[in-house]
Amino acid sequence: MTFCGLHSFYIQEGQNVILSRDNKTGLAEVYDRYADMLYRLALSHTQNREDAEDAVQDVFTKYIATSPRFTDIEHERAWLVRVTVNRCHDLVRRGKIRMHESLDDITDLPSEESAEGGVMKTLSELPEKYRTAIALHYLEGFSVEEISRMLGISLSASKMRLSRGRELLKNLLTDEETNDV
Amino acid sequence: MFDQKEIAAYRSISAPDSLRDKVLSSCTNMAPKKRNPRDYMRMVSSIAACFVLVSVLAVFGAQSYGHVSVSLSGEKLREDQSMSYHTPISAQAVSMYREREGTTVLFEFDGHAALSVSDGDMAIVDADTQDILYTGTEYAIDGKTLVNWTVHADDTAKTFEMTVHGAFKTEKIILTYDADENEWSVIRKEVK
Repeated sequence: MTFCGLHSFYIQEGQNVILSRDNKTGLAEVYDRYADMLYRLALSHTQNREDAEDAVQDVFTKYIATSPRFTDIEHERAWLVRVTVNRCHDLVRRGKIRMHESLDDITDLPSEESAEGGVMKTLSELPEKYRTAIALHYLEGFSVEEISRMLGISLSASKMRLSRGRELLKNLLTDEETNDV
Repeated sequence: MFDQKEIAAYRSISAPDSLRDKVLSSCTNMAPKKRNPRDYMRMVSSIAACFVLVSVLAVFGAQSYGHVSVSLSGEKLREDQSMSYHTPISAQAVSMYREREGTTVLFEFDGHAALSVSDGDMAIVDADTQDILYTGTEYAIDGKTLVNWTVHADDTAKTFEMTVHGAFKTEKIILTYDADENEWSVIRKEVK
C-alpha cells in the first residue's frame, strides 16, 4: 500500500486509480496542512521573511516535481521538514540569504520585544543543528522519535541535540537576564 | 524552556497568504518531473563501470592471493627463469658429501600452496628459531615459509621435481644436477 501524498489517499495493490489532471486540490491540502510549520522553521533559519518564503516555495516545487511516494502521513511530514531544513542550509551555505536586517527594521516581522520575535531571536542564536531540534520539540510539539525520523538521525543523536540545545538556551537566557539587570 | 505564551506566540506565526497563491499557481500545472532517458543511461553506465572496476579488483585480488613467491638464496625465482645453485662445499668433497648427506637447497616461499616433491625430503624450518617443524614429501604452506629440500644425486645428471599447487595454477620447480660442472640449476615452470 502506498500513500500518495499529493492526492492524499492510499493506493492499494492492484487497485486502479484515476488521478485528476489538476493537482490543485491535493496540493492545497498538503500546503494548508504543513505550510505554516515549514514557514516558521524556515524563518528560524533564515531570519528573513523573503528567504523563508523562497525556501517554502522551493520545497513545494520539489514536492510536485519529484512526486515522492510516502508510506504514511508521518513519512510525508518528515520528508517536508527534511527538505525544508536542507534547503535552508543550502541557502545559508551558498550565501544566498539576503543581507541580515534587524528584526526591528522589518515592519512585517515580529519585533524582538514581542513574544514571537523574542522566540525567533533566541532560536537564531542557537547553532543550526540544535535550532531545528529545539524548535520541532519545544515549539512544534514533536516527540524525540518523530524528530529523529524528520531529520534522518538516530534517536540518541536527537536526544543529544535536544540536551545540548537546552543547555545552550539556558546559558543564553541567563546571559540575557544578567544583561537586563 | 519556553513558556506557554511564547509557544503560542511562535505558533501564531503563519505563512503569508500571498505565498499560498504563489505556490499553488506555480506548482499546479507543473507536471511531475519525468526521468530523462539520459538519466537511465547515466545510471546504467555508472553501474557497468562499477561492475568492471569490482571485477578487475576481484581478478587482481584473486591473482595476488593465488600468487606464490619463491626465492632462492635471497633472489626471486620467476617463471621460466633458470638459476644456478652452487653447493657450499668444495668440488673435491662434493661427491662424497652428496652420497652421504645429499644436497640441500633452501627455498623461501611466500603464499598459499600445497607442495610435494618427487624425490628427497622437505624440511620446513621456522624462520626465526631455525627449528624443523616438519619433514616429509608433502606440505601446505601458508605465508612465509622456509623449505629445505634435500635430494640425493649420483654422478650422472638427474632431475628432481617439486610441485606447487597454488590457488589458480600449478607450477613445477625443477632441480637439475650437472655432475661435470658440479652445478645445480633451478627452473620454475607452469604446468599447463
